[in-house]
Amino acid sequence: MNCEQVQQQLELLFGSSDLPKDILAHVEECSACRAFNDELAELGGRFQNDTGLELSEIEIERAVANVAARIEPRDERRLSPRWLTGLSRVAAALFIVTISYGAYTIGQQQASDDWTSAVSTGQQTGDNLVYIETDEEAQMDNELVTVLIQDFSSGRSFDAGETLLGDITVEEMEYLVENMNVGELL
Amino acid sequence: MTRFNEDELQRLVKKATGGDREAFSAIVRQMMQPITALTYRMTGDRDTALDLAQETFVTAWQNLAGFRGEASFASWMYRIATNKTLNHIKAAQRHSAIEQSEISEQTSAISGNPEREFARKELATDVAAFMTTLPPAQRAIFELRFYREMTFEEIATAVDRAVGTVKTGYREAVKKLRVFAREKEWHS
Ligand SMILES: [Zn+2]
Repeated sequence: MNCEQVQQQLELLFGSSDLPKDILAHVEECSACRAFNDELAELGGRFQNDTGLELSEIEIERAVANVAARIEPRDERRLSPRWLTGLSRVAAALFIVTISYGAYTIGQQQASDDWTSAVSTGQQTGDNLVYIETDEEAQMDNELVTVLIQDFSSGRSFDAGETLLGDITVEEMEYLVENMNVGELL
Repeated sequence: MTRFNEDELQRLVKKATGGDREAFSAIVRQMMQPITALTYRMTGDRDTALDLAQETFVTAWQNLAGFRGEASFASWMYRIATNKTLNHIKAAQRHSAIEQSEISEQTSAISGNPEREFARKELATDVAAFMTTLPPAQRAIFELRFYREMTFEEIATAVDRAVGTVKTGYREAVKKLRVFAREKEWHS
């Protein structure tokens, strides 16, 4: 290593306390590089004493509070704790199943009653359409429920609970939790 | 120098990424001093440095998901701080010259021996004056290398420059320091 290379290395090492062996060996032998190293060491020593900007504990805490006041929660819609969201999803899915099954059963019953009535009064023409629609609607309800249940069990974000609970308020959620028997649900 | 407990930081970062604001405040508390030290070296103004440091943390919170852990979290934070400060300096270039009279009032006052206090303030003024002789990015390199003892690789990440550029920048800063010292007639 020649003097120029050594001095380049010394510039890069400015501020380091330990010099590599080969540099140290050269510096000990070469008066020019030794003078160069001494000059840098003196400058480094002087500048090391500068502590820079020091913040007091109070300033740090004030800054921490300022930052905290300025950062937004990541997802404002998420209601913690997490189990609450899960529970509401279960509730919503069961709610849909119950309502749909009820509607389906009533629909079937009504169709059957109307059919019996129609047969007995002889008013078959045209009225059959009504019965078919009722059946189709019930079928659609059933399919919707199946889709919602699948969504729910696959844990997709677009699921029954999420859809139904999109507009629910915190108060309503609290009421739901307070008045719901988790054991019954599960 | 401030070496961060990266494991502890990573743990807090993971929590903060999940939306834990208290974990993020713990990060802010740990890193406010060194981040402000950097923004202060680059701007020479205490209030501006504090503002920029706080801006840095707000930006970090908004972009936490973008931190993938390729570099250390500290380097990532320094990078945001450096970018913010460089942008600030660019925007306010006409006002970037630091008034000598201001510098002496910038650093925190530590009571004690008046003679030592005078020397401390004088040195702080000299260092701040030297910083004004460097381009802003070189100020960041000097602070991170000389005062934070970061490796050139870490600094390269922090200032978003190639390692070679960082090394050249540091050597240039040292050359300028020797010139500055000669002008100050520091050498015997
Ligand atoms: Zn030599």
